[in-house]
Amino acid sequence: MTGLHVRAMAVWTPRFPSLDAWRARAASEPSTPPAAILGARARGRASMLTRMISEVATSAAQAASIELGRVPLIVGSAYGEMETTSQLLTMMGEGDGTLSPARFQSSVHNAAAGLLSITTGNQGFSTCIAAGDATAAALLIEAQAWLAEHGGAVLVILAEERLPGFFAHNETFEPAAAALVLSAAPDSALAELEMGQRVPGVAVRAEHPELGRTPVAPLLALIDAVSDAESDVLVPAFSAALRIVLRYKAAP
Amino acid sequence: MASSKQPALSIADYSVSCALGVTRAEVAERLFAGRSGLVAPPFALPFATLCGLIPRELAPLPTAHARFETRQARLAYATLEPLRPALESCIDRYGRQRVAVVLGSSNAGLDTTERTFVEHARGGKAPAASSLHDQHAYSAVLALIEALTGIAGPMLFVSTACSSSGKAFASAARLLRAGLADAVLVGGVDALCEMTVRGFRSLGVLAEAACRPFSSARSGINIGEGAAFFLLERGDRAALQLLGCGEGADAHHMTAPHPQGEGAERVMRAALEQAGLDASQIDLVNAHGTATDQGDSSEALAIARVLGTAPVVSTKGYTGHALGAAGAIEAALCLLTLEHGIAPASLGCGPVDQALPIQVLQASARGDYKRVLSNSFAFGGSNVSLVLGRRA
Repeated sequence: MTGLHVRAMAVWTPRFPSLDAWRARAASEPSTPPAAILGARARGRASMLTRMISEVATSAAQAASIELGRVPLIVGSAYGEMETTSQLLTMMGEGDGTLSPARFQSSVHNAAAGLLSITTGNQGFSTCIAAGDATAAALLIEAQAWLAEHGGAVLVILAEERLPGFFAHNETFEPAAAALVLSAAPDSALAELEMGQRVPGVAVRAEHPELGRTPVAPLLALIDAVSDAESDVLVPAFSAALRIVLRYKAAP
Repeated sequence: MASSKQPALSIADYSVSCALGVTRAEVAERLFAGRSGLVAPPFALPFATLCGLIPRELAPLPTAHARFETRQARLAYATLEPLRPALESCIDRYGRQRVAVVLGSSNAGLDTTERTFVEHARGGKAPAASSLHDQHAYSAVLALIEALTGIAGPMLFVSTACSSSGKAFASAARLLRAGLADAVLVGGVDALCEMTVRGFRSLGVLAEAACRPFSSARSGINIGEGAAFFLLERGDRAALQLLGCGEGADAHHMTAPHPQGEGAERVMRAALEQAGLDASQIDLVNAHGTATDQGDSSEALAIARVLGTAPVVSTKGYTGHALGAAGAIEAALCLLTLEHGIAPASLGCGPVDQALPIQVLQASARGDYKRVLSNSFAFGGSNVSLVLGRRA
């Protein structure tokens, strides 16, 4: 079985706008993602979700010294482009319900992945995944299966923007995005992940004390575990939990 | 996009629900008789169009699972039922944890969210609180399938707009080849939503009458709905097989295809390579063919370069464009062709656009169909091509 090697990590939230800020829990005044790669025009139209995805994609690729225009991209979000969907729902309820074509084309789950592919000229593989609280687990499984067949590296991203008001009675959480560059080969890896057994009947909630009940929480927990050199972490996988065992190279 | 030949995978069983019907027999009968399933939309719109609606009332979910009620969930439930015996047998053979679910969808539970939201906005009564987890989110249908079947392996939705369920096949195939599952329930499901009908209208690509793929009179898309599920396993025991998948991106434009179809060409070549086949071995092409001016023309150029004069069919004139479920529904229609030895007429294609360098199938044709290639292309330039086959 191919191991998953973590080559780089990235985090962006409004109050922790970098991996270092996140690791130190050094909160700053809420900001928006620079998303410089998108260029002014696309950035101006882009949703918070698309900007966050672009931001962590850029940081993680930079940290791993890989080209965004060449790396396979696996993007996850449990809820997707909620802000844009909410704008379209509002338009539907007004007048004769005419929609904005620019908003409509940006409402699809792969809006950010498509924009990144166009911006960076990436003609290779990308996919977009949703699996509720198990989205982090699904991304890792998808990455494992891709790397087993193709080798090399993949960029895995998970992001959620704030839920619109009409869903606020269900959940509230802070926007957050996290990314990992995973490779099949162990070269210069921070840690090796072994996807262990599914543990049935162990319900792990996707929840983080800093951010609330966000589907991004399990990936942030994994990033915390790598940062703190922990030996294993449980991530939610529907009614089971997936145990991920972490290994580190012995100090030289 | 290096992809070498991969072993074929078995399709142990499959089911389909679309505008043509809700059983394989019903769908095959109407498909091969050339009868469209396009009808008037089920909601009021300030413009004319037709939709590919499921022609029956969909049964409600069992009471125990009523919290998951959406049209999306009903479609998934109706399409899962015929596969239950084959699925039970997979679970008995491999164990619950070794069976995975990989489905494609663009809309998830939007059909219910938009109804409650818009009723409220238009001054009606306050909507019943629709649930984010049990109705709106993609994972609602996964949780429903988990509750109905006891499957405990990896479960996920692929959502890349109109290539979603084509790409679900590619993802499922990788899970099987990597040994991460022994059987995968793969496919797609999308219920008709008013927002997508209005959205395609806003882009200026919605047809006012029945769509006419590859015709010189083509004027755009009809939106459809449906679902198709397949049980995929390693090995070549089953007569029907998934032979290859190709995935890639145009990296060109959010909604317009590359004018020469270069992205489409790359994924078709990748699918053939994974299947280990020459272009001459493809007996029929099920095109994406949504009947937009640009889309049909760029796909036709790509097909001509890769597959020469292989006969080409678009089935959108029967089903409409079922978005994230289109790839799965069309894979099911391809399997019907392989089983029955009949290719459907490319409905609405007359008069065929003479500028397109392909052989559009103008009437249904009997033949020894062994291998079919099926394309799906999406917003964001996301492309996928599948090769399906029947053991000789």
